[in-house]
Amino acid sequence: MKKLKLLAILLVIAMTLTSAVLGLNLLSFMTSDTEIIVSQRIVDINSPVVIKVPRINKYDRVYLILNATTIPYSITVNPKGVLIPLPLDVEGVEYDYAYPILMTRHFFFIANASGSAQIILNMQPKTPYAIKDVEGKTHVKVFEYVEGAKEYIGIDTEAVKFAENGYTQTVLVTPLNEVIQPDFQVSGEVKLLQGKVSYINLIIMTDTDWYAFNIVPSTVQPNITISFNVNAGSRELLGRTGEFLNKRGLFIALGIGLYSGQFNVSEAARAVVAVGDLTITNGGRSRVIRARVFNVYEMTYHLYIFRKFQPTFQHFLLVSALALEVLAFNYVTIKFWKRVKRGDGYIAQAF
Amino acid sequence: MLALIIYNIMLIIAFLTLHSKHSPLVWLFDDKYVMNTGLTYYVDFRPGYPPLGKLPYTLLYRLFNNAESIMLFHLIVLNIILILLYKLLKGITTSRRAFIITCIVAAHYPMIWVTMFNPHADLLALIWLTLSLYFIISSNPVGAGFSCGLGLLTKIYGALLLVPAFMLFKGWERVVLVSTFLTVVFLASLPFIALDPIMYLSVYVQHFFRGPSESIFALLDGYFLHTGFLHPTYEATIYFHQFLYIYTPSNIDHFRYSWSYPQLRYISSGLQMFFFLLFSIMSSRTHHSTQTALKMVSLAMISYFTFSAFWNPIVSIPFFIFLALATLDIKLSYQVLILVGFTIVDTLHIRIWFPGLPLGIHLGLLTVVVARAILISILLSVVKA
Repeated sequence: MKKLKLLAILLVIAMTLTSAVLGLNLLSFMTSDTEIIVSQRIVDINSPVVIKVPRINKYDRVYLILNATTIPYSITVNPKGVLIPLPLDVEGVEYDYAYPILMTRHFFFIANASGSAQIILNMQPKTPYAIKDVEGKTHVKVFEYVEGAKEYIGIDTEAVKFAENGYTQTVLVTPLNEVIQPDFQVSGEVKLLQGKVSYINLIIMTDTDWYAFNIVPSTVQPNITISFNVNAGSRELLGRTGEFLNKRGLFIALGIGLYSGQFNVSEAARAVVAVGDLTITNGGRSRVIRARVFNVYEMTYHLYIFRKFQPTFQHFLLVSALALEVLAFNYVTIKFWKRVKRGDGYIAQAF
Repeated sequence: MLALIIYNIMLIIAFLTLHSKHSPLVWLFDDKYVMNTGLTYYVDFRPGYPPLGKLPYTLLYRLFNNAESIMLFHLIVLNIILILLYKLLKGITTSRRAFIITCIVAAHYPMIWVTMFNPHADLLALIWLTLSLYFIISSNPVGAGFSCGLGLLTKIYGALLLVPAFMLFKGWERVVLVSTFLTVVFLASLPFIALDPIMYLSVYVQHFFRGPSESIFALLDGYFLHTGFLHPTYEATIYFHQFLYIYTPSNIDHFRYSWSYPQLRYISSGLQMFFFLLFSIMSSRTHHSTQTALKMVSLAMISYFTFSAFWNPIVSIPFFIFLALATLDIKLSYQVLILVGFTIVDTLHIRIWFPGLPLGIHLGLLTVVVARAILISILLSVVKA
């Protein structure tokens, strides 16, 4: 019994020491496993933006956040294949869409080799709206459109892949972040310049729901300016009226939908839309989202290099030692317990 | 046995009729992501559940990729749970009562719904919870430590029974209980600890940063959303502490939640800990009967769930089993009424997850939370001290 007790004590000491060394090793890795680079670039849409990724090890994760509203025309990595892009899925849905990250552009990679790399971006113009696909996949080009004295944001969207329901939906999103008051209204004008749309909806995104109001139907003909005004009395697509009142309005969006059934096989599934100024009134205050397109602008980016733990020989040795110690300790305690066992357990004895 | 066969047949018929509308596969989006990107669970990617709660589904997803295989797996697990529960109850109450209570648990709507459509770890975790209880009342610290260990490896709350078990056991039994628990957890986790211990630890740590969900604390904080509302999956490829650098806390995202009233989280945790420990200590001082010890252990677990800031219809499954075990010493008709009351509330709770109910999310959740609070108050007033 004494020998067993002594062995148990020795094993506890050994387990404590091994765990401490293992823990300290991991802690020292964790304190230096993230490198953050924040920088700015002057973007001119006519020349590429190069972002350097220094000192990466194989399997490290590289995460790039661009403070840009529009998806770049193209993104390439030099040397090719050093960074493998990962899809930016969202739980439960297939599109890369989540409220807290809606207004910025995100790219995620896993390093396929050690060394350094360059991310080369061909940027699009900047607009007051973040532009994202929420159904299917489209190729979006942003341009400046002027008609008379009026400025518009030109959106040229072409379907690359329709969702299973046959639609694509691209949203132009601008933040609201206000509780929606009874006097709430959004007014503005849009125009289909070319192609066909299935719909253009004005969407109010609250913290619990989307409310979509159809402002342009599928029957719309090109070059007709459509003015709209959405307010608490407007009926949305699911038949609800004013349900968004007193809710937290997070974003206002314009959703441009294309439907595969509207296009012939030989025809490009495409629509060119012009978006004018948007006026948002809420709680007695009005603000105007000007239809401005910037071809040269300042862009901030955050580059995160997340180190991935790589097990060393010492790590394997420590883990193996700990496994043996834990197993031996359990064996000793069970053996000891069996010896001191009185034949009946606590509860049985108590009764 | 005949009742169990009939029950199985009924579940299979219901599943075959309904599964085209509600496939359990939609919940396995992370398996889809991992499969498409060639990543390895617990080494490159941290799922929401420990290995035993996740990998069986991953295996089924990779081998069969159909709803039937998941339903069959669930059906086997459910049968084991019901048999274990019946055996446990039969040992401490009459056969008639054991049968009636087992039947009510089998008819508990969330249990049926999870079996057919929801591939989450809670169902499997119930096996270890029931086994742990069985070993605790049989005074078997090796079995209890083993079951609690497997419980932790399935769903974190599975380890909680270790506390009342520790209180009930004495001397070397306690050492054996804890050492068996640690051995099971460590050896089963060994491949992941060897390859990337930080990623593996992240699987567990991430849960402590989650926000409230569908509980009274969630509603008091003004959070009316469902669990896991639109959350990026790619972040699971980095460690949780790295994720904290890139994702700003928000009061609209359950997974990185910013409390409007931060004191609520401390009130919730404080109440959980206080009542959990209180009933665990009380369980060690029950010298009257096994039933009383089991009641105190169940009340400890009920306290944990009741005061948790996190609730959803799936969580109500273990809650319901502990509820059945905590009310064994009251009149059978009262016990049945309480259990049926909870079944109705839990059924309504599942229903508000889907559109079409006139109540809507806000009013629906409020109704469910208030009704559940009333039922828990009734429960506490009828349970004998």
